[in-house]
Amino acid sequence: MTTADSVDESNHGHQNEFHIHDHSHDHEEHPDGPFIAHHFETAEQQFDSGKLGMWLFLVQEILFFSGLFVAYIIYRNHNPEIFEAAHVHLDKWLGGLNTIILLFSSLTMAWAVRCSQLEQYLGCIINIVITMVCANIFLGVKAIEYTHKWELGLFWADAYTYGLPQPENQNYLLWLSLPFIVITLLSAGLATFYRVTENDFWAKFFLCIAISFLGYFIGLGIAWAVPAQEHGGHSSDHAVHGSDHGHADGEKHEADDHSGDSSGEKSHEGESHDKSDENHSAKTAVPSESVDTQAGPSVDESTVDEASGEVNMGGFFSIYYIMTGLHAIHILAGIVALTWLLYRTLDRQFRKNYFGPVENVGLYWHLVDLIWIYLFPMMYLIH
Amino acid sequence: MTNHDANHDSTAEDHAYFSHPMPVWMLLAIFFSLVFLTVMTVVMSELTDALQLQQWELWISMGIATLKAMLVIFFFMHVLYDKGFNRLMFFASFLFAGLFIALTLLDTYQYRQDVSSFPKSELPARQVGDK
Repeated sequence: MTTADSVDESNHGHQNEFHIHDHSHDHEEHPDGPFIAHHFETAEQQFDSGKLGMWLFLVQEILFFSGLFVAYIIYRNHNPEIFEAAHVHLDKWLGGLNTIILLFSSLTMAWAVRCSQLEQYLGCIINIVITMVCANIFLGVKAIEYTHKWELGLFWADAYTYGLPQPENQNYLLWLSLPFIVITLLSAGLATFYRVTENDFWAKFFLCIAISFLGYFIGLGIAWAVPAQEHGGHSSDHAVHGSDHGHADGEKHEADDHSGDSSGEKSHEGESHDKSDENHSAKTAVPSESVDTQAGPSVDESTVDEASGEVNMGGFFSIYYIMTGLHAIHILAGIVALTWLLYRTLDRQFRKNYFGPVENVGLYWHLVDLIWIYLFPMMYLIH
Repeated sequence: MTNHDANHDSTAEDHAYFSHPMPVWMLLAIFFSLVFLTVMTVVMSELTDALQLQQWELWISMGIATLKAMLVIFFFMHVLYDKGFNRLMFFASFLFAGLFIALTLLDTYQYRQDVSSFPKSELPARQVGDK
């Protein structure tokens, strides 16, 4: 089954294989088809059992993510000023774009399920590939978002160095992109190799993989094309905050404003800031006892000044990286699962009474989407 | 299912239709509703200050997110047509997640007074917090 030759024989080959497998138990293949295990009475019973298992898995996914949501809620309740200071570093346009990309991938995933139920192989393959492309675009955009923060020193609490001189020549993006570059080139090479050797199945398979992973670079391009992330986020913030402050342009000012807003330690601030800050700190009305509790080892007193802003946002970014990072890992796992589906669909293994794997991977994919639906307003739309 | 043995060839066909394919128009309608709600939530966050909605902002964005989640759950995840037990399990998990969050939040402001009254100006701020 794993060799190219047997795959090319398609159904017939498989039926023999499973026939042999079943011999040890039932002496014949399950009447509902080669992929129905002998201990199930019908294909539907197998489908329902598999789906029940998938739902149980999703239930525990929700429960373990809820732990992170609790961490977020508690931390935000205790330190709202950190969230207000940090949200200017998240580009809500990129976040919104990623939301729509993920929603679109959910659409194509649901469509792929439909196609597999109706035995529309080509449609199923196209939809699975589009879903994988979207997953990779999402990761590409995310890579730009992450690396941009890292370049500014916006790390998790332990490594937080925002406002300090950053080391030169940190090729964060290159390192993040390396696996994608390797996989794209490798699968493109394999696709060419199998095309030349006229092994149609694997040529198609690796072509689809290569196309999928090209999505990552599309994502990088899109994130680059969105004009100057940090400033993009800022300009929108200016429009909103303009009514309060009526000034401030450029990164530093914005950072200062926000730190001033929330830290409440106005004695350190310039006079011009004081006035505008009154409003805002009255609104948030939160003293800053615990603001600097997250200070990493490299942040000392001297950095608590205009340049760094006074709010140490490391705590926020710890939560941000854990939640979005864990979500990104789920996306990666989804890509692996989709690759498996791609293989089986290309191999024509799904049929009217056997589409459980597509359905279940679909459920998983929608749950990943579901988590992002909540993460997006929680992380990007803070005010 | 004894009829399997009676007629091998047609049994696969008999059981072929336990699936419930979603109509394409419905999938597209759900997708565009989701996009619309995404745009709405971004627009709402942009207009928060103009509309004086600061205190409602979180609830509005969470409400829209929940609406989106419901669309995904009921239609994309097919829960509307799923078995009752699966539905029960799934929604029970939300119930427990909600219970988890609610119970943890019960004493959120319990110690705020102690923290606020702590003489912060005399010590470096970083030594004062709860971590």
